Amino acid sequence: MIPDLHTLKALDIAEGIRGGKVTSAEVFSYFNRRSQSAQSRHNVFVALCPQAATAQASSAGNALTGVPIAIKDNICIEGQEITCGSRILKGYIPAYDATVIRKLKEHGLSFIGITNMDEFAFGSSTETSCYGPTLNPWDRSRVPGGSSGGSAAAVALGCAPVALGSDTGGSIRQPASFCGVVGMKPTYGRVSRYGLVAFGSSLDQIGPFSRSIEDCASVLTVISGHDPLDSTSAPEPVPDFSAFLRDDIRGIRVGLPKEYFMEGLHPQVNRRIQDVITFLRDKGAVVREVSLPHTPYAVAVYYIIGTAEASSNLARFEGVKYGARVRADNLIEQYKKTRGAGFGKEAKRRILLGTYSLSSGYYDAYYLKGLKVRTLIKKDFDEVFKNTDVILTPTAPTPAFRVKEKVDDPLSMYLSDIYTISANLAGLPAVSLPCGFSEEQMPIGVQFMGKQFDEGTLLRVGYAYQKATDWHTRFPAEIV
Amino acid sequence: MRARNLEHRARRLGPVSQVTTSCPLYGSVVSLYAMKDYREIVHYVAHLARIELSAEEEALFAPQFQKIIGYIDTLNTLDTADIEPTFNVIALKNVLREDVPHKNEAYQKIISNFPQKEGNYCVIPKVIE
Repeated sequence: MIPDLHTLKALDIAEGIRGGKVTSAEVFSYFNRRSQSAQSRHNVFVALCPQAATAQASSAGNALTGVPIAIKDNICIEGQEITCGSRILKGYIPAYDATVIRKLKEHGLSFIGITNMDEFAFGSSTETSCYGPTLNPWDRSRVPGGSSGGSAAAVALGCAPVALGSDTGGSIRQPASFCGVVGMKPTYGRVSRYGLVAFGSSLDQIGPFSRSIEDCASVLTVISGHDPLDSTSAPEPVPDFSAFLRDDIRGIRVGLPKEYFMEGLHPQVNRRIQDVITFLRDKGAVVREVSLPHTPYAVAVYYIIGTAEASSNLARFEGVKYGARVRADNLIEQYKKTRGAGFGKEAKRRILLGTYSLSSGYYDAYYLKGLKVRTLIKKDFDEVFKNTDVILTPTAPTPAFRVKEKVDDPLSMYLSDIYTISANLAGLPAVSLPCGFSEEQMPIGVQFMGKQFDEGTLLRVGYAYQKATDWHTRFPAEIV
Repeated sequence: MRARNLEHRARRLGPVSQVTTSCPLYGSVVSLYAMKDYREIVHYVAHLARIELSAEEEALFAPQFQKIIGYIDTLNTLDTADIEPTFNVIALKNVLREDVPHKNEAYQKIISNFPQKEGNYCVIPKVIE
């Protein structure tokens, strides 16, 4: 048995299993024990998985075989209840595996638990879950970010070396930043969305959480690829992303969009970001200021498109075929009562906003307008990427905020995603890496955005950064 | 139609209140409707979305809608007359596949999720009188 398994990379744990130093059963029970302990203090999971789902015999040779992974509560695992943090889906048992789950199983990973999330991924703090909020691993009076707050906290607390989340407007990267771990949103279409409960279908993407960029690359390699079951998945070849991990970034062109460094950026966040910039320059990267002039409109565009798509996608939750049903004498009343009782406030708010912007007389003024401004935002990126390899920004304007600080002020909550939303609107890959701490010892994240299907360059820059820093190896003091 | 009439009425009346939001990248935003109009809008779209709201929820959502829609209306400062909308960010068009039937082995698992059933049928309230 290897001590302190949680401090190891997923790749090293798998190597330990292959080399006979530890068994996959020992690994599972080690992380299961940590998960139970973390659960009581941080409410990370909605369910812990039994060991039955562990490594399949056929996969003995893979790089991640035997590694436990935590899965967000909106990705279908056959036979495992999934709720998206909502009362309306209580009791729903998927009849099939999401494509990413099938791939993880084929590679011999085991599922440690189902992680808490904002209801239907609507939120930036994991406070809108019907299971109650997840608390930040570094300070229980603060949020872990969201919507994939449970997955980020699971990795930060060492409940699992890796996790999956989903990112529609920052839901992987912002919690990664708040919890001090790595979180990547791949290019739109890179990873199949089959079996992911849809929120904003033109924005959603599944991606990994980890501590090391090597683990991020390994999980990404496993889950990526075209899928005939998801017609929006891209028929692009999938490289072995580990091959991009070279400690050499000389000549890489890094853009700093000036619109991301204006008023509203917390000075301590800015200081840590400036340290990263200095590091990149010292390593031979070519750093220069760039402009993404339509950045100020991104949040407004997102809350048109995201809510419109959500209102359409969530029409299926009406208590007819699955989930909770509130009975009534006629069908329309049954829909209304079921949805009125089943959805929480934020889900209702977003469905109503989306219904408003799609309703007769408003479509052109809101939805179509939003899609047109989306074009302008995407063109900004196309222009910058003509002579830039990666764009560097803060992941979030502040470190993790307090529990309940923003929950009654939706617009202020929406604005906490201001730096992450544009990558979804433009379909770009983006990663958040831990880059230091605030004076109050809260983690801070740096975001790199890349060209479509160029996750490799993000991983390369991240690897060089992690080679020289140890932020990603830190654990919260109150760890179990 | 009702909401549309509301909008026309609100535009005739002109801006009636102003909400300032603290956005790091954007200044103040001007709201178009009176609060009672937002209450009606919320009530109307809740009907469209088939969601029963309590009076408390309507009262809660109305001022939030005012603020959020006011913020979204900042897009109107951009001229987009000649801009094409982006429906999909990656260059995918008309994704087709062969129409090959296959047996779904999971149908019993799907049926077992029905909240109310008789045999293999999903039970719903009577639709046709």
